Amino acid sequence: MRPAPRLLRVLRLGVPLLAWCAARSAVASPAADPLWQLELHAGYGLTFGGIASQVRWRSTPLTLTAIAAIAVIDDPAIAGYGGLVVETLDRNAAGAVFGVELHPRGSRLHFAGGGVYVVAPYTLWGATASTGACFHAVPAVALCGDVQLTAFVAGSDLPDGTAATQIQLVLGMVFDAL
Amino acid sequence: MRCSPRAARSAGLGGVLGLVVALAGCTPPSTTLCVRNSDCPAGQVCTTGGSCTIAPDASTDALTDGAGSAAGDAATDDAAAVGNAAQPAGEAAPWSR
Repeated sequence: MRPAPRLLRVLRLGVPLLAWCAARSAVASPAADPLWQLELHAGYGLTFGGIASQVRWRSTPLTLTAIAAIAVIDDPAIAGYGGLVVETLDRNAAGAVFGVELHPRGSRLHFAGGGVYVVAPYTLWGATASTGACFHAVPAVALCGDVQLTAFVAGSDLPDGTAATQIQLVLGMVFDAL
Repeated sequence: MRCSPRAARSAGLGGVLGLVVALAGCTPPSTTLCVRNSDCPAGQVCTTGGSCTIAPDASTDALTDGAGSAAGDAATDDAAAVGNAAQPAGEAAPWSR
């Protein structure tokens, strides 16, 4: 008995579709979270500062970050990270970042919080919080987009008695190292 | 770029990215020069009011180097006026490129 032409058509379209979905699902949700990840970020946005009656804003420098993250807790999936930060475009400065990341199970979203310390040529102390999502382009590499809030509260780069807060759109690449 | 989300949309940018780009391109009259010292040109610092001014250290150093420490100390209170003239043109703030 010959299969119906409609069934053949469904199989011809459906099997490749199912195969693509399975492969896509495997890429989007790797079976095991990596122990180590290397991350490169570029952030740009707006910064606010000043005293209450004279709040002002302007664009931020381009912030480049390279960090290494290591999983420290499996459930919930929490990783600690640390790395280098560079401010560039209209100035040049370097420092360090550190903190923790939360990767909720079954979600592309992630959350991070930590600190930033710009060391030279001026100093800045700040706290950061960010949230965003990652999409695996290939199994070991993900593209990420985040919104990051940073509050600089101390350091030689701040006018006396003021703080600076910046909100940046951050684009990143994450490499699963191990 | 004009200061409007519409301009960002017309440039093909949407969502959060368009908003950030639109705001970053804004230069309304109320915008002041600086939030941080490194926003200012070389040799200047950011005031709490958001404008750039000659760095006190730079003007004091210039006076001290040029006229001796006693004269420099005496003139420090007046550094804003005197220091501007004494500021070496090529001296750069440490955060400048």
